[in-house]
Amino acid sequence: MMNNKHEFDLSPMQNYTPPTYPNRNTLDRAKLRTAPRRWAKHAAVLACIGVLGFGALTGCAAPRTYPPASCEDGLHGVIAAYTQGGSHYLEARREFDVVVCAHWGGSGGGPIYVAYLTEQEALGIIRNRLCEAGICFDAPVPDYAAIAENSELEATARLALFDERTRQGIVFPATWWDDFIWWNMTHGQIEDALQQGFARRFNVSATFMQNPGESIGDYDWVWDWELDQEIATFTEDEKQEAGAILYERLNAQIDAFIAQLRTEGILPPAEEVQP
Amino acid sequence: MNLTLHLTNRCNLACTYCFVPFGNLRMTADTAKRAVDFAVTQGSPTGILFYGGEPLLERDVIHQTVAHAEEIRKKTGHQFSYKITTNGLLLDEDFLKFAKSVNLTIGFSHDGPAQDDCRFFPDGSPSSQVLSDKIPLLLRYQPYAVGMSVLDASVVHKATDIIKFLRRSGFRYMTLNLNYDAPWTQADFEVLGREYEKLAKLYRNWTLDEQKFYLSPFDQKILSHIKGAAYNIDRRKMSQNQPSIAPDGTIFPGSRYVDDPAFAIGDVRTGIDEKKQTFFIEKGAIPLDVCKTCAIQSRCNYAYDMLTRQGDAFTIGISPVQCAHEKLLTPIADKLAEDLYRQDSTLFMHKHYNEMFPFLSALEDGIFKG
Repeated sequence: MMNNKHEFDLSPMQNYTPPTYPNRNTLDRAKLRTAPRRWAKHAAVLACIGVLGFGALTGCAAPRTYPPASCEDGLHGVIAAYTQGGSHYLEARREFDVVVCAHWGGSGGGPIYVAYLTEQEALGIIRNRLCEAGICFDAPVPDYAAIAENSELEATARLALFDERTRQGIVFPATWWDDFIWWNMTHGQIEDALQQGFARRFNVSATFMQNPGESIGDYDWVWDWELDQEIATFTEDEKQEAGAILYERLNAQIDAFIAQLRTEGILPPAEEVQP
Repeated sequence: MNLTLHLTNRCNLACTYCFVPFGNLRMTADTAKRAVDFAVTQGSPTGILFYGGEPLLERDVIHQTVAHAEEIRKKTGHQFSYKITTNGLLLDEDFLKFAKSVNLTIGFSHDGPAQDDCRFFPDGSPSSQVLSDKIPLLLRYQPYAVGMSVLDASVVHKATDIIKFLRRSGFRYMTLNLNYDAPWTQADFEVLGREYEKLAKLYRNWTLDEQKFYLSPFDQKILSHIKGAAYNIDRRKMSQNQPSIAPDGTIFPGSRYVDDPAFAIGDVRTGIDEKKQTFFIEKGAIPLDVCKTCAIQSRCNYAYDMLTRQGDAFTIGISPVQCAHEKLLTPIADKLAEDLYRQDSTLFMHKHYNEMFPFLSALEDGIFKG
């Protein structure tokens, strides 16, 4: 209920000088190298930020930010794809631009590490590269949901990126649908059903991209005194190699999508794109 | 999806600024469970906010709803989180133990030194004395409970004292929201401006002292710049994804629409009418002409989605008071943030720019052990 007993009018604020403190995209990430004093006495926090490193905080050049990801937040499927359904997460560490989650439990052979990009990083890379190619997914993402189902389970997918002009949408991540192989639906069948759902209900052409993941570590288990259990380990080289593989896999998907859009005439050939 | 369950419009207080019309409506446990079932069809995770009136008047429904959700969690792995907004009168150890067992976060409404100006019993008697033991009891079980205050025009001069009260009482998360429906005057806003300047100084000192706290509206307004273009996109996603369920199971786009049937978009038994929902989403996406040239439109909390109705016509309904408040608050919050940035406050940097801050903060507090 609006109370009209006031002395104000609706009027725009004009000539407001934008503030000088940076936003998340323009911040010099070196500013985050120094931790608050209160963390200096906290071993677990220091250990966590110690491996964050500088690279993990550079973020991406995307002008848009997304909620942060943790092992608990929206990445169950990525873990499940590598851990045969287990769901107990030990910790999250960020190495460069990748998140490494330790997993214990499930029906697999033992604790492993899985490296993958955060949704924030990956969507930023996707968006930037597509914008360079000539299609900028700038529109607010509508809350369109499509459902694939069989007699036992139902999968709901939502758009992560959307271009209003071409009605193209991107769904991400999609690896959790690997779970459905256990229930007699192939990955392709799920994608088909969801694509039809988006097309029929919303006139959106949906493309599915996967958050690439790479299992690292050679199962050389050691005892972790803080966690009080055995964990797998991995080397610096393995971390670096995993990061490179993740970028390569994501960029391959983006390349394939761009090629498809060019074939369909939605994007002009590469030489016609103006900077 | 996040659901707000309006369990009842009954209340054991009679706050002067309450926008909920009093009545005797009560949500049955069956309706609440159907609401949960409906939310589950919309994907995981599901956040449930118990709301009212005073939701603790329907404690049994809360227990049954959570039990139902936990059954679903055990069978399917669907994730749930729970919150409640309460005036605290009916909080006791039993409920706090239950809340702890299911990680139900409590938002405690209290106006500090203004409590007896605006929040009293229906017979007019004051409530602050009765509540004096509730805050320490609450914080013993939930050190991160949210202290929520509403600032009425009549007590604008107490804004700083309200926050100081909450802080001294032990709250780390504090929100101060204006009663926009009050008859604010320019003179009130001058006082409000001075109070915000005083609060900004408190915020600055606490931050430089590396005290852990969250204070809205400053933190939210600073975030509106730091998140850049994503701020309103993310806000709009949240506002589109938080329907309210009236006591009878009718679904509304948000809590402010619950007493107007014209805004109904479905029912928990039959689901959402997507045409109607899309209609309101599209209406909410069109800012007013007057807002389009505003220099702080992208940071305004009211430029989108605040619908109002005149007959059959729906438009954005930002009030002049809300507009004036955004214009007052934004420069004060920005000046505060600029100062802390220039001073290289490490807590400021990490709190606002480090996306891992919530995780690290929880790790520091021993909440997240893996």
